[in-house]
Amino acid sequence: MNESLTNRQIAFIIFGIVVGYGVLGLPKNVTENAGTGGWFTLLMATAITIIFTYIITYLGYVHKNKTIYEYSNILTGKFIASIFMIIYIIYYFMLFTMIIRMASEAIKLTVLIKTPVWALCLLFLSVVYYAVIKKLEVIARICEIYGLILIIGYITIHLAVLSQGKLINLRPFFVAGDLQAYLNATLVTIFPFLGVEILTIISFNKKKNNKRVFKYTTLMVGFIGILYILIVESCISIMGVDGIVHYKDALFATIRRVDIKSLQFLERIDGIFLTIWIMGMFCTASIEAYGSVFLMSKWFKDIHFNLLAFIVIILAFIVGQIPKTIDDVEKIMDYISYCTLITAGFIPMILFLITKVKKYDKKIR
Amino acid sequence: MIKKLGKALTISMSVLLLTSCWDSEDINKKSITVSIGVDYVNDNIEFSGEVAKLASASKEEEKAETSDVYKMLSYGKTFEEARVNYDSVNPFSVFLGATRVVVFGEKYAKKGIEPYLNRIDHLYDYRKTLLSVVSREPPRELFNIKVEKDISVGFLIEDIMEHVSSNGEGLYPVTGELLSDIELGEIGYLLPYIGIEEGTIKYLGLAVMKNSKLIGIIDIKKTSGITYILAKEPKIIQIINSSNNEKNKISFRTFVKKRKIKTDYIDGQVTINIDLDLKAQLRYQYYMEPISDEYTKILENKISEKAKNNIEYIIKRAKSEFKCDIFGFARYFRAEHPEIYEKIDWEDAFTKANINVNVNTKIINSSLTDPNAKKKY
Repeated sequence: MNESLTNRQIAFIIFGIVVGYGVLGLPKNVTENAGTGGWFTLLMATAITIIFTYIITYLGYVHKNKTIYEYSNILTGKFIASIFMIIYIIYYFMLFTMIIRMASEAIKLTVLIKTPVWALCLLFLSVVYYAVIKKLEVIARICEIYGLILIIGYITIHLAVLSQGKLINLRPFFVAGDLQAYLNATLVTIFPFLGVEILTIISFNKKKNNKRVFKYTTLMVGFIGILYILIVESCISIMGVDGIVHYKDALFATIRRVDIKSLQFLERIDGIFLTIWIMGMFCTASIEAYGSVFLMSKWFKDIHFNLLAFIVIILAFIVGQIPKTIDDVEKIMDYISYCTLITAGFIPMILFLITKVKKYDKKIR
Repeated sequence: MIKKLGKALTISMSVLLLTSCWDSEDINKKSITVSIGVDYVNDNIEFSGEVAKLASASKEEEKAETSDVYKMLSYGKTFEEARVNYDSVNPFSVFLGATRVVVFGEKYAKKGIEPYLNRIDHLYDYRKTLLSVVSREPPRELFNIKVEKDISVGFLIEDIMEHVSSNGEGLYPVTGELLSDIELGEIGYLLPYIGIEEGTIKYLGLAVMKNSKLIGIIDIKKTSGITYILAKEPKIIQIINSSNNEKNKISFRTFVKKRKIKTDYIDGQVTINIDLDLKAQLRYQYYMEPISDEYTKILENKISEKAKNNIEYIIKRAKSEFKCDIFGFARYFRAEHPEIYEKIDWEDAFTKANINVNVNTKIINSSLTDPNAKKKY
């Protein structure tokens, strides 16, 4: 039942789930809290996320061929494991539902002004459904292909943007007096990294995943950190710290202010960016939807996976329409982001400690 | 069979859901705006402008292209009212994505153009890289000019400004940059100033904007100091009178190789040091004369002196006449002294600032002519 992936696929799954909706408002959130020293805050957030990633990878690595459902049952007993599962299921479900709603709202507000949000949601969800019933391996392959396009796309676009920006907008790079503010901002900037907890539902295979899997996962998170810094710095270089804080869609706003005359085909970069961004959204949403359906299927073993997926998608569509305004959705997103500290930090940390205390890692070897 | 049906259903679903259905509109059903003029007339906002007249290029080809423009005009107390008035006479919905230029009338510019810049920023279809200019004559008159050199007035203004700025002789401020300046606060900005002369449109100089209100004009002849400081790649032609021969003049093209702006804060006073490294290229002499190495040195000093004077002239005007930092020095000061910047009033600090200009010039080549050639007979 549990599917396994290669090290590289695991790394790209992380990229797929992490780099999604969050990038849109990233420059605003970072600048609002840390000003031009945002790069430092991002580095700190990356470091913390790398620690989380290491812990989660370790859990999967020690408990070979098991996902969080099996090993939390072994480590904490049935009752607590069930609580954990409910948290994860609700978390993934809400996350992909709200992300699809937000993405549809963003598309409606920026490009397709007359198209109703439900139609956009339905389109997204139908594609996500198709991906989910094809199971993890196919999603991982999509992430590999899309991930590469996304990486090349983001780097090209943001280097191009950076070439148009003004260096003076990026300074002062670091103000020693603001160190406290930088550290405080770390908590806020960690949310765009949410998603690494997906590793808990990927079972590691003895043959495919050797010790190098640690390198793959932590380096990927480090790479995402660097990519984020590039994105934030390029946006600040165009808009300046005073301007960027007014735009929830800072990335769109920046890209729309850039016009590269010498690269005619890139003259309207926002079109290219939108395509890439939607690809990223699709990766994120389908992995999260898979996470939710997968954990549910462990409980409802009698229901066929495809049917379960269908029910979840329909539910997601309905739940996605409940919040009336975009502000409501944002509030829900905020609560969900705080949840990530539980799902990516707290729960894995408990399981990690129990594994260590019970010396599971040594027993298995 | 069911599987096939499912596939067919999925395909037909996605066709139905292909979301542009709601937003698609035929190009012939849109009025594509080429240029917009905003002015203030009798307490009313006046929108004028040009709308593209779409026509097939030829009978064989179906490709539509702009060959001519319609004029548009509407009034209202607010932008929205003016738009409603416009919509009530216009058969098609307006598309702003192809707008080349926004022309602000002098009257409107004096009252403040920030509302319209914000409108450009937040209306989806406007390009944020749109060119804004201030016009001496009311925009309505501008758009009535019969253009012979270009497709329409909007294109003409855009092309003139692009030509000027790509030659390194002027600025091409796009709306996005202006918004960044406004958001920074405490600094002013410059817009191209145009007008009608001898029946055609002419670039006249730069309009000085403080708090987004027009407060002064810098004549085109006096703009080189600004170009040296602000243009992306300044290339300014300088003519130096020869000291050996009264009749002779030497024409140079000068480039800025390195531009360094450093700020300091000493005893409660802001100091700004501007260092320019110029490269000068001799284009031609009015009359051929030998140029010795010592004379080259003298010429280099003369060029530096001239550039320095141009810059100092404009800085002096900014400090005393406009009382406004139109060069964006605030950005440099904030980058270097963020904590002091928070405490001081920049406008006041700028007018009292001690600004030093230091120009170094090197003549790099003499355009392949040899003025020192030896003559045999």
